[in-house]
Amino acid sequence: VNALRALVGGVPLPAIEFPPDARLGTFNNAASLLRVTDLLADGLSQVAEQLAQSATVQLPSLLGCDPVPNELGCVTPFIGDFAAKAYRRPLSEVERQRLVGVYTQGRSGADVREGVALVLQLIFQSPNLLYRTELGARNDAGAQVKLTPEELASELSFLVTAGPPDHELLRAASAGELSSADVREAQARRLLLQASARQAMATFATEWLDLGQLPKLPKDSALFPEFSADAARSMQRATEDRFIGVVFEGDGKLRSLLQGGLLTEPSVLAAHAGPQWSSPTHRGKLIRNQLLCQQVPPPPPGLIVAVPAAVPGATTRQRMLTHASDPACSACHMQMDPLGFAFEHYDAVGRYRADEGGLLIDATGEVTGAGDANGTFDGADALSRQLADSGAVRGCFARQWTSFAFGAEVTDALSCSLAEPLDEFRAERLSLSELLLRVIRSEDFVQRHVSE
Amino acid sequence: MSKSLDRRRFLRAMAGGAAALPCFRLLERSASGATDYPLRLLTLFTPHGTWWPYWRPHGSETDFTFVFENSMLAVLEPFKQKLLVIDGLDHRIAYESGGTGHGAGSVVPFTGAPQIPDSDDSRGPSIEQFLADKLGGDTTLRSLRLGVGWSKSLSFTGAGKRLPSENRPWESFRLVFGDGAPMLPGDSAAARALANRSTVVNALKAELDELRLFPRLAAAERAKLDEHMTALSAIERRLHGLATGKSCAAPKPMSAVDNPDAPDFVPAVSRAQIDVLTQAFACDVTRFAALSYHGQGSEAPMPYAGVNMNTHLDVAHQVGEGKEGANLNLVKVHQWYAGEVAYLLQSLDAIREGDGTLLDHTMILWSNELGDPAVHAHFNVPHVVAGGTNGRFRMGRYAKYNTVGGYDCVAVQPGAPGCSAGNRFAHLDAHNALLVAMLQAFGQDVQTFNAPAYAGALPGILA
Repeated sequence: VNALRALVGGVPLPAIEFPPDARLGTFNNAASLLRVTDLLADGLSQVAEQLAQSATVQLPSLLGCDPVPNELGCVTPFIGDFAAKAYRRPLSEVERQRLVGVYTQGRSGADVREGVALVLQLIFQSPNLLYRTELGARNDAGAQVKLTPEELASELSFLVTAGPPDHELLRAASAGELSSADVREAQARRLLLQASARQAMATFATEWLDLGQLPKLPKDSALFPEFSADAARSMQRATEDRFIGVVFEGDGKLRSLLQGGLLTEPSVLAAHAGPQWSSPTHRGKLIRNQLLCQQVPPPPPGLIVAVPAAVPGATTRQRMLTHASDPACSACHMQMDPLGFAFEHYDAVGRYRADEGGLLIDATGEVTGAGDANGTFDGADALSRQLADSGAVRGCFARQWTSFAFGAEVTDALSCSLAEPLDEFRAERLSLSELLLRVIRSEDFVQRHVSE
Repeated sequence: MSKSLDRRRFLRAMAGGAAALPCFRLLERSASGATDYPLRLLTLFTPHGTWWPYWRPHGSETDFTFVFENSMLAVLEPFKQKLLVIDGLDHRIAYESGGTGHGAGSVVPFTGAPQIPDSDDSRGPSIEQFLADKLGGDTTLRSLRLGVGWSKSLSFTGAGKRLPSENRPWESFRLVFGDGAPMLPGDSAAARALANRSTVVNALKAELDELRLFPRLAAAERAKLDEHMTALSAIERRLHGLATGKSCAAPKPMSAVDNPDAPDFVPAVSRAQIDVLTQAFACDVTRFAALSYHGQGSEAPMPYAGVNMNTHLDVAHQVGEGKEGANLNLVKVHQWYAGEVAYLLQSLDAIREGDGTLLDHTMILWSNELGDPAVHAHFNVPHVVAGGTNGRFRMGRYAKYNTVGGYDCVAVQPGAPGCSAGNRFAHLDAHNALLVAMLQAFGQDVQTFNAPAYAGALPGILA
């Protein structure tokens, strides 16, 4: 989306759900990455058509030249420049000729505008725009792939700003300067000052805390008439703002995020709750998966998984404990529920509640099986402090962020030159933006391993 | 503008939208006197498992009724000659490959294949995609996949990747009927528009080919590009369909709404999706379709069914012997689904094809994620086949399989009568046998589908 926005600044983008990432690399990559299915391809072609029409309304200012005296002399260079910007690299001669051929088809029997619109229609849905390659040069065949300067520029720009490289970065790339860690860092520092860098960080927060689904979650409209997709989106924005505030205006430490109340943000608690109830299980699972980097297996087959029905006089906690008293259930539930109990003062849409329908709330619990994060707590603030004090939690967070940055699980093969900055973040010697700069300086940033 | 006004307008648009479409293909066909109608396939998914006493018809194999107190399927009584109720099939592949609950429940119904652990994918295609690859060649859409209400598609590609479904009726409408009027002979503007689009698709394919030539592209990444290529071919095929006048005439498109999955819109969306689906079959735009209601383990309240509560935790999970309150809520949930199935059958039956109706030339497999919902189990999952099936299946029957001992025995009651403690699982036949029978009905010479361990077609089912 940002790549399109950069190409057609000022033209409103049609609504389409773009997949989160679209890299094409030498790794067998995470499953969440772009898959262009028949429905997505159809959506893309629609968007491309609309966008091409609106982008060519002001043709002379788009082209930057007058096509009347010398049509091809004006249009051909424009096509080449526009496509190079969209594809984030220089074009091959074959590509250039193909694009001009498309122009000729669109132009025939019509006018210059329709010809240009048809080329843009192609560019806006081109695989070269959609996918970011991390493949190195075509003739490179070693086990290590050195990214091309243009790939490196894209990598850096998408990481910091979630958008394509700007003019200055592309200049540095074509001058061959990005092989220097100092230049990469200077470029990254420059980009961090842009507004888009804040939005990129917000995207990470949303993915890390799994908030993206919130506007679509079913909530009982009788109990929560004020909850709507719009309300959910503004809750989500508030959480992003808090995250951005700590990273860009604050000290950028995980401790400040957690102790500042990130986990009791309404969007976080509403996104991990049922339509009516608070769901200690879902909230506990969030802590287990995303803050402790531990996986909880799904319920085994043939197990009675009926959570006791809502009984007057029983709190959600009591219902869950009855359920988990079954030994078949407790093995897994005990990894989640006791963590989730910390948030029992927050209802299914994340609002604070002093009691649960008149019943006393017990928000005590215990972290187990999590190294230095272990221990008992009473309430969400206490749990947040406990997590903030844990090196395991900080290490997990650093790995989560690095995986996000690379679009791949951080494995041993990848993390060689990253080990040191990860350790330093864990020891609270680095802020998140300092970690980002260290990642950008690292050897792992400029090369990729080829997977089997 | 008030919210309710928007909604009324939407419902009206839906009601008037896809009701009666002129169909070019159909007219062509009846003019030429052709009587050989192709068999269409629809896979239909609803969640939550069942409660057998209220799902099973009363009576014998050929003389049965759905009409009794609290019957889930009562509304299907008029169609029972075109139904085959199958009682006693397990989704064995789910538990015998270590799959669990809703995860495997949203993979196995139409694949009979194991879920790939920790993923959303399957170890094989779903049956309608498998057949679409073999037989879907000359239709405009290879397959059509529709959803209603926070649904999840149960369709998988040949490589086992889950395919998305379209939840917005106005978009499924556009997929089937195109963006505008069909092209008429001599319409040079429309011809140029089509030629332009083809040019773009060809250029996209060329660009994709160049990317595929990178020597060190990882295998999974190459597969992504292959899928992209397939998607472009699908667009190409639709363009070709438009150019050769194979598409249907498009009436006014329906109004869009912000969140078609919300309970307010589900009833209207369901009917609109069924209307699009019916016309897509009638006009031979596609022969293979999938329709899924809600996701597996859906928590969405269903106020329109009289169940304004969490249908997963407060209904499905509470079902069981002696738990009549929950059982009757599940009955309401299923009665609503059955009502939509009845509307579907009625819509298909209203379209004449030769001496019969479209319903006669259709096979629908209605399946579920679970059997007994409270135990998350894939034992005795409810299966209903509907449609005339071109005479390939012996319809109008209530077929019981595995009626001896342990019939409703579930793993968590190893001591119950008929339940063998040593063999907690594997009581009943694998539903793969049903999928194999369906493939044979579609002329495929196969004995297994996605799971070599379960060979052979379900006995007594093929005509």
